[in-house]
Amino acid sequence: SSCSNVYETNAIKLHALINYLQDTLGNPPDLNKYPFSLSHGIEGYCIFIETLIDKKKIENDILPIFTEKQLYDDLIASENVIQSLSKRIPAISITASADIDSCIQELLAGKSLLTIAGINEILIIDVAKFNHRPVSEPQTETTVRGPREAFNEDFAINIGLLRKRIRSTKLHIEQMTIGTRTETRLLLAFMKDLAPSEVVNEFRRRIQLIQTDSLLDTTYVEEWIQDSTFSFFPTLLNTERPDVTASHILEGRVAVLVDGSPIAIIGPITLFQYFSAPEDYYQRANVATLLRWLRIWAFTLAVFVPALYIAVISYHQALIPPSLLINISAQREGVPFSGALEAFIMMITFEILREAGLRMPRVAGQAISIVGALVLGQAAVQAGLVSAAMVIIVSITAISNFVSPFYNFAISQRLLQFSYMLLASFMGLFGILCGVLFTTVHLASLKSFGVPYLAPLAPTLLSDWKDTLIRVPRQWMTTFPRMNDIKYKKKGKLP
Amino acid sequence: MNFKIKSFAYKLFIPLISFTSLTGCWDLVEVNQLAIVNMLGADKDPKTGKHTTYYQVVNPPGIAKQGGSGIKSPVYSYKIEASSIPETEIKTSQIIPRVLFPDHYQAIIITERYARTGLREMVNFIDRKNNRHSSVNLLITDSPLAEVMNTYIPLERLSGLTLRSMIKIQSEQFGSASEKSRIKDLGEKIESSALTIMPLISLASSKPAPSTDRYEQINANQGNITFTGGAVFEGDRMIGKLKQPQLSLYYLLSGQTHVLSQTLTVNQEKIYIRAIDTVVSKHLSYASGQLSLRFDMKTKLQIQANQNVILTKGNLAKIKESFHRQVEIKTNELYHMGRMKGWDLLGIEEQIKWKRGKEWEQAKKNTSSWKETKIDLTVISKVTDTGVIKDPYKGEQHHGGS
Repeated sequence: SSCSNVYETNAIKLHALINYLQDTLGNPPDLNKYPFSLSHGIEGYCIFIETLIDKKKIENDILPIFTEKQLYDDLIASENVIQSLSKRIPAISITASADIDSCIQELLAGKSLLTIAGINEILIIDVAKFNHRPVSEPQTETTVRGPREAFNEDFAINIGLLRKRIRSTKLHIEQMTIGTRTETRLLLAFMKDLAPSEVVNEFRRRIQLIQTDSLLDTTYVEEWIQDSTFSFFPTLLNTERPDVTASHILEGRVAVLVDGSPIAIIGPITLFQYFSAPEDYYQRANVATLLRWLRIWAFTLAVFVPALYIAVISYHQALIPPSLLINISAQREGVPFSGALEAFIMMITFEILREAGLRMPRVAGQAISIVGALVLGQAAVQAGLVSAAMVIIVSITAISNFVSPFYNFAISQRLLQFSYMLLASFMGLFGILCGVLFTTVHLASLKSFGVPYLAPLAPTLLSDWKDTLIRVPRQWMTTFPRMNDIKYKKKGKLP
Repeated sequence: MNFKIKSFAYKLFIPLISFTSLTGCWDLVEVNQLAIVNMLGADKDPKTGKHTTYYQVVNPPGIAKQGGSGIKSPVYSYKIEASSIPETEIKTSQIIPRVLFPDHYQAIIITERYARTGLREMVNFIDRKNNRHSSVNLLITDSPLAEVMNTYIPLERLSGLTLRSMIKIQSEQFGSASEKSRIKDLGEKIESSALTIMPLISLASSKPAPSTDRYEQINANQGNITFTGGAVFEGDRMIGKLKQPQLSLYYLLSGQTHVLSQTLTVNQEKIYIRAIDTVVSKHLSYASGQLSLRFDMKTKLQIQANQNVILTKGNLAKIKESFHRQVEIKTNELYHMGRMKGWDLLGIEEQIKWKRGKEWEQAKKNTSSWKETKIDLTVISKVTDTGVIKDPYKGEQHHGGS
């Protein structure tokens, strides 16, 4: 009697709530308001966004409960309706809230809202199921040996991939929410006992300073928290590989993952880490060392070859051995452009081709490669537009550039390469020298989360050299990298 | 943030401003604007003092296979007449349509008459120019310069490169030329009493080969350049010539080469021996008014041909002894030949100058004391190539079957 009044009055409120919800969200087609009634006309609604949830869970686990006679009796008898309901619903996460706006937020995060007339709180049941692709192979960081798993866009899967590798209580995963509009979940993963607390605090501090409405990828975070905005050199490592992320976490670094992004960013990082590929750790030590040297050499080639070519061909012809000079001179006979201009034309053409190669639809791929081969190849030489030597220079540079194991570092190489070309074209070797000094000074002044970018070379930390220019056999790698300032040194021991 | 951008702009601005004060673009020259000089020929008329200079300029398409322009000539010779060396340089611009690029000279050829008047002016000129390295080979020719400069050489198309490689090969393989025959080697000795020897070259035949048709002819000697001996220099002036066998011994004793070939006569039969990896040390001493120069030679002997003197344990010592004696005799001959002509080929006077102590004062006073030197030579040798040690073909007639 009196009870039913209460229900009736609340039923009006319930309709108001539904209306409010529809107005706020703009009545989208995937907003589902499933009405149900307990006996005696007590109404309720199960509200969810179809595209974000697992319908089976609602159909099989939640809705059948409300048809039970027993439930009504229990609710009448119970003092705390919420508590007794949540005991019966077989969902893992059930919370309750009276704040309608926060409930809407939860609704958008894939939760289902359960409202029952006469109850002042709304039940929030986690039935989220986002669409995501399965765990697939890494796209940009492939290895011959080693695991073939990559992060994908699903937050839970990414955490799972990390947890699978580090089954330690010390693995701490902190969650933050960034983006006033996107409310994106962001995750900070580190080893509590290895990562220096100053570094972790610095990560927290910088992430909290992010003022943005949207956060769609880890790159957004990287731009906010990196040490130097305009430097050519990245101060954070990008990887799509959980094994790489885990190995860095296990050396006391901090990883940042963002919901919806298949890329983790890792810091603090040093220059030499960009020369070590995951492959290094899946091959034997001597092979790994050789490959590492090869990469450093390729980096040098990619950065300096076009600039050196311009410098010697335009200013320091005496440095070229006579027979080569005659050869180059014969090739350039009739080429209408100056050496520097020719180099710029070819390098820019190559950059355009590369960019086209990245963006174009696969079906057009063949056409582009044929045209590309003609533009940069024999036809251009035969037409007398460029010299054959220049084609070789472009090819060496391009191939060397692709050797870099990290794509963001390869882009740095291109920036450096063009800067040096510019310097060489108006100052020759002297310009390159100026550039090298400038770069060295810049590198020496750069830090990544407090760690000097040139460590362990400058400052010299000899014990860290065993995984820098060389990689020593695994048995000898008994200490943690000192440049990270880890609390204790020996590996293998737990405190 | 604003402050950050400002400080960044300053950091960029200061280097950019300082860059503008540096030498830059005005040094720029394209490779195909260069006249790459491969060889230089110089003559000076002793009577009129007029300089005649030939620049052999490389024609790149004539050398590289690319292009197929049909031009075959690998080099062009420009002749310039001027009253001085600097004037020569000015005049090049009046005839050569490209920027003169002398950095890659490979050889400089000087006429004998110019060499005999002294090369100090030229050595000084080359020494002070930053784009003309003084490590270029210097050669003297007794053939007419115009013909030497206007002849095509087969096989290696650049004459300068040819001469340079030939000097290197001769020096390493046979010791008949020395790599220390560069402008700077002459320059170093200009102010000393020591002699220097530069290679002497001549045209192999009386006619030069001034057309690229010569590349199609099989006779390689026609118009080719050959090495004929050495030009002896005292200071900057050529004073005479040295023939080939003595030249090898001279280079060996002065430490410039390490190879010596000798023909020995043992048991009335000829043996050809090559001494390799030879190290010579010399020691000058002065005792009771007598200068004596002792050479200690350590070497390895290779028996090149020993048709009728098969090496056995018995004659091994004899062959070695014969070699030692012959080198000693030839050294003495070289010394005496030099003494007659007044050439201190063994550099004794120069060594006396460097000696310190009272006992040397007497020898220093007398500038011709080097002429009264006793020459000794000891050789320690080891036979490393034994030649024929068993049954060579004797060539005896074989008569019929059994």
